Amino acid sequence: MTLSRREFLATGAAAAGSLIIGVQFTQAEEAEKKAPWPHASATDFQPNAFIQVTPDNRVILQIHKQEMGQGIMTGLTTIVAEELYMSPESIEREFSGVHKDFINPQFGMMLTNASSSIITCYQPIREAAATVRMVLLKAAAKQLQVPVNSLRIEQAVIHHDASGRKVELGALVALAKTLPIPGKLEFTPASDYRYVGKVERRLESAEKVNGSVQYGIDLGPEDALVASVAYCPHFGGKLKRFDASKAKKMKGVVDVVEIEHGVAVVATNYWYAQQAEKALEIEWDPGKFGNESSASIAAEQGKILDQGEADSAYPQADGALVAEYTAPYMAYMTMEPLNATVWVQGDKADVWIGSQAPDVMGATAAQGAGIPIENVTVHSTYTGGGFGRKNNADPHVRDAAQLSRHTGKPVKVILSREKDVQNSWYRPAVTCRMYTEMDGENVNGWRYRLCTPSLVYNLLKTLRSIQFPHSLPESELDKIASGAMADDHENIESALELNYNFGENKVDQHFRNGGVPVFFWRSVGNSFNGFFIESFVDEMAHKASMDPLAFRLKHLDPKSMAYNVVKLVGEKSNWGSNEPGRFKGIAFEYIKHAYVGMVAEVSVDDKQINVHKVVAVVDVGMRINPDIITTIIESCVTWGMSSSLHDAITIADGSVEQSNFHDFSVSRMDQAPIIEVHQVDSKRDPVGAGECAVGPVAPAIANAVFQATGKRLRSLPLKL
Amino acid sequence: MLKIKVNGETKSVDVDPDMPLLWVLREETHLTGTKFSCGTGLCGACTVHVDGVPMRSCVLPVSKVQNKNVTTIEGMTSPVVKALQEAWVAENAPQCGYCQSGQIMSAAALLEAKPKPSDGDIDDAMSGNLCRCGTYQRIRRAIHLAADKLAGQKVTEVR
Repeated sequence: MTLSRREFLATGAAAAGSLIIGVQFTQAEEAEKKAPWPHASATDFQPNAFIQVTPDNRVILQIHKQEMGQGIMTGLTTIVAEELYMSPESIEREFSGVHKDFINPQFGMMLTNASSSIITCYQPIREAAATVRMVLLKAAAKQLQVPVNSLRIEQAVIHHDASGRKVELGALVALAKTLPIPGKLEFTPASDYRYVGKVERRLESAEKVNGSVQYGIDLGPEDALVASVAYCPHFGGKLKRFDASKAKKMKGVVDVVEIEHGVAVVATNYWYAQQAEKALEIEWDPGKFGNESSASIAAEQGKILDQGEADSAYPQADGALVAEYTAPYMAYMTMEPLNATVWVQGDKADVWIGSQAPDVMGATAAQGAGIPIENVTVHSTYTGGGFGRKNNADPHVRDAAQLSRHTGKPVKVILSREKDVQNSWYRPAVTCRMYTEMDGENVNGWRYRLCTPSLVYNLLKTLRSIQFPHSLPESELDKIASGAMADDHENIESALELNYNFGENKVDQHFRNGGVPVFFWRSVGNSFNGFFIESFVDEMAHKASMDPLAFRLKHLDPKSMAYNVVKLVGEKSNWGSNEPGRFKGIAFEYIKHAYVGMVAEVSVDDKQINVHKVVAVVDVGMRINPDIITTIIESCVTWGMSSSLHDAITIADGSVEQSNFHDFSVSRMDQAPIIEVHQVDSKRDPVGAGECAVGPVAPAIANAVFQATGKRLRSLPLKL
Repeated sequence: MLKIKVNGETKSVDVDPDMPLLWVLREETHLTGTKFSCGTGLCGACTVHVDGVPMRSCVLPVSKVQNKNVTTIEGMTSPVVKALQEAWVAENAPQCGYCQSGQIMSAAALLEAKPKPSDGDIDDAMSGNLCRCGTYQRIRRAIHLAADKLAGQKVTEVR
């Protein structure tokens, strides 16, 4: 994206004239500028926010990114290990608290998102570790009275080989604290690498297989009360009336409270809270979106695109190819349901949560508790899947704070799976029309038109609790959010960055915001644009009577990384030769500086699509932990299979029709294909891999289905 | 008061007899290795062993396990489980890890019943355990690896 989210907010403020927004954050920033690190220690050597060395010879790395399965904990530790010449296993890891030094420079908040961790952290973490090494070597040189270049650092000990003397890092802490930070940093030369590109195993696996690992849902005081909140099932609806007389008498129930977002049952055990919630009698006002349905949304999107066409009178030449594609809303379904524990004590609060945005969660809790942000301590931990869902000002965090304030006790709010499905945010449902003019194998222009709800519009709405004064009327917030849409390119990123040389590339986007809240879902717009673009490119190849692989290569720059991955995936997948009854489809993806070529091998059994094998070639730059990258690509493929073949969130009466894994059925073991991953051995700086291989899954499968059946599937999920 | 035996230890809990075992384990006895995810027996994250049989604790009333041996991930110490845990680590199976307690519980029951499972056996035993990170391929390999190790076969790890 071209603007940071904070700049989006500024845009919104400008659009709204004199409104002052972001008050809470600005105050927090001022306080944070002077604030010590949450892990600050008077006795340790801490030249930066990330690494400290203790007098008892421990090296501790602050993990300021959310470890949610993507392997960033191992990645960051491996980078530090290389600069400190010590094994990753011997570096202690702590989840960091909230501090401005941990802010993601791409977004101005402490976010772990958008495949941005390795891109934004690689250099700063190297620098932090090289600084530690250089100062400690200098301290050792002083202490041993020898030149720095006669010393060798190895596994937390500095050796003077000539004299056989050695000193532990911990013994140098006091002296190191008095020395200046070096002006020019020297990095470990790549020829010396022992860990980068070689460390294969995740550091935290052992605790994830014996039950000792703790997620947000496992943290907090043991005597915390537990709450289940009844939220309005209709988007944009509200509470009319409720009767809690039955619920209040039930076992384990402590209180039933009307809060901002619904009716909360607070109990001594989550199951008691759930049972009592079922006994509530509630009447909801479905609100202005109460008639919205998937069909009505699709019809409106179509109408909006029709109108645009009438305005622009796109020429329909003889060689024109036109197609309409659609994709539905999609749920996240993280295995760990949303939860937060908050304990408000006087004007202070503690928050226990595994989140992609700990500072935003802290601010949300502060708002709920009515206390200053700087009085909130966020205790971070692992989270059981993120995928973009745990990345914003979640209402349940505010609920937990309000309930803790109300009861005076620590309160854990847990969202049941049904609420996770029905009271969530969703990948947008979109309609896309593509046009191209062809002359044989040549392409003379390409046009991409998308009708979608705006992610930025919804972002501002979800940030309401922390960015806007509570008194701001909804209509004013709507104006601000609408103004910010002018800069929303989130959903057309991959269309704007088309790698194919198709002549003029015209992209236009039309927004239609309804009641369904939308948000950034793993790979964001690429999750559907990848399907639209790569399926349509296949249609173009068919029209040109060319092999789909050859057609792609013809329209890519032969010197490009894009060309390379497409060519390689052809070789690795044995493109052009099929086992009997098997068919292959190809797709390409470019996202956040990562390149992916993918081939799916499919058979079709009446109406059943079977995916047997997926071959992926990825170029994600230099590889810190190659096998972890492979696992993440496998993850992307399985994720993409779910949304390609099974899943959709559909809307009726302004509500979600699905509720749990029986009607939103993510891929299971017996549906998992063989996934073969090949990585380009690249020397460029590393880029993120967490989302890169989601987009090409659907088109690779759909293109194989076309080979098998001659039927072009233009809607997700793919159904014959 | 209900008496239940968890990981070899008898515990008295003052709960509604209909309360699912999951919520007794997690919030009354503070054994949090068993996970909540779907609440309806659809995903397998809450799998425990009751007298050695894998059960979904989120839909199992606590009254039904009185006088039975409940084993959670924290209490799994058999050589089979140890081999599975080592294989899981060797194959980089866990990603976010949230479903993995349940995966290990199901895999342990599989290997106890079928020491040398086929891919089809693995599909049958493991398809009720969902993983949103998509670690299925690694889990399959890890089960085979553990089975080979337990059988005393010389194995070369895949990587």
